[in-house]
Amino acid sequence: MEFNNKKWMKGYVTVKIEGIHAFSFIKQCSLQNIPMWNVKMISENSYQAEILHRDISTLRKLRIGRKCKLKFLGKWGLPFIIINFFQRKAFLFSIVMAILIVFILSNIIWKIEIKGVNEDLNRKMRSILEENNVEVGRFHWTSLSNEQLKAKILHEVPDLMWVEISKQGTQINIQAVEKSNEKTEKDNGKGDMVASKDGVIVDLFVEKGKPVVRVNDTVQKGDLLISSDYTFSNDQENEEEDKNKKSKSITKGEIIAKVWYKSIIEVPLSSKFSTLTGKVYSKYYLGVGNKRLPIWNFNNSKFDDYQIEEVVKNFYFLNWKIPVTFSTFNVNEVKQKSIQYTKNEAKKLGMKEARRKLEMALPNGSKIETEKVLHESADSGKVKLTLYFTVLENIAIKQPLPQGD
Amino acid sequence: MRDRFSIFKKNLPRILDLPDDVLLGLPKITMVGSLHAYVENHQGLLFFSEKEIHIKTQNGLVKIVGNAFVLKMMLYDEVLIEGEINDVTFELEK
Repeated sequence: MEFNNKKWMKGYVTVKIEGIHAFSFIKQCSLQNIPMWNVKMISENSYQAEILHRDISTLRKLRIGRKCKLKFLGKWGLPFIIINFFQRKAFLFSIVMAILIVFILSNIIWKIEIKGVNEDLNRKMRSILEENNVEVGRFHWTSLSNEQLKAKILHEVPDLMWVEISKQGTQINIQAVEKSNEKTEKDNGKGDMVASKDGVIVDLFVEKGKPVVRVNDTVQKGDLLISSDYTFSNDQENEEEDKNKKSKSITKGEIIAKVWYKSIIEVPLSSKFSTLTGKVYSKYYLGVGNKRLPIWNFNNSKFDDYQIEEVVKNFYFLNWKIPVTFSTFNVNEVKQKSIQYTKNEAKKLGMKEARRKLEMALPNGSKIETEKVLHESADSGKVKLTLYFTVLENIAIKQPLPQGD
Repeated sequence: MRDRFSIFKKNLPRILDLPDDVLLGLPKITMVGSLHAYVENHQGLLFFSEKEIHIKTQNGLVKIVGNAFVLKMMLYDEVLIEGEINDVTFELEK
């Protein structure tokens, strides 16, 4: 039985041996240790036998110089079944098509889920995604990379604070967090409000609480601005209750104060920087694992100085990332430019830069009132500026309540 | 002298308690009814047809006569005969 299984696995053929030397040929085969089975005599000088597929070549060699003919009548066993299987074109074609369809379907976006934002922003984000080819029914590879998409969404929807894009199979998950001004109010309305910076009070808007400063008062960092202690009670007995009330009182308001900022900035008189000239060409690579195979545009760089930007597209089969990637190399021409500034220009540039930096650091709703150049010096190819800004801004912040008793 | 040696050789398996076919190189024929004959330790086929098979062995010729013979298996020194076996004869060399 074991022998039967073995011969089926290896494949065997039926061979007809004809000629006067037929029997001596069979004898020779058994001497050469070629296993044979189902040997039959069909007629005088004509035999039929079965031999293993791998012995055919030895059989042919033995035949040389003998007066007999070999005729192969049939072939059986696994190797022939496999060969047969591959010869069935329609069947093979349907399997290839099935794999191809699954592959195509795995690379299509089937669902986009946006979490963490309200309806309005949700719709806004969806329209931006649609503009960037992220839509149900589209291929993954037509869209930008997650990072680029993230940057684009954050740029076009300024109300968003944070966005995270991830891919899960054929679904795109977007987690977003809205910027909200109400958060601080919701957070904790209780406790005193104190100054966050030194300054001179210009304006007071107190909604709740008792203001303890007046316009034109000079305050220092940490000074009390709005007191939460506004439940006036002179009752000695109720002092205990009072304290409880005090800690529960809500304060709300804005204290606009004039705050001074000093900034020192250095501007080099000559600067070198590289710019993209706008000339660009693309190279295409097919990646397998870590290796990349160029498939289009074999030219080496035409530019003296260039910068390469690589865009990689992944392919998926069901949930798995196939280790085959398609990457586009965008080769941008780069030119070094140098600019010489006069002292005046450098000064203007420095002031602009300082203002921009300050504006970035200031909270929303602040206004730069005046700016002054305190000091200006130029040496070793640099202009050094000391600037003074006065800013109107809200300095009231909630003092954290002491935890516990 | 020769006779004595052959007698000793014949008796050796009995003395050592060994099977005959191993020591003497004799053929071992196993039969299943009259359907199969399994011949081991032979020295080659001499004749093969549907009705008769001659097998060379160490001490002579084994003739198997019957009907519809097929060699179910043919290896270097063993052969499995299938068919309708009527007669197994030994033609010993003298």
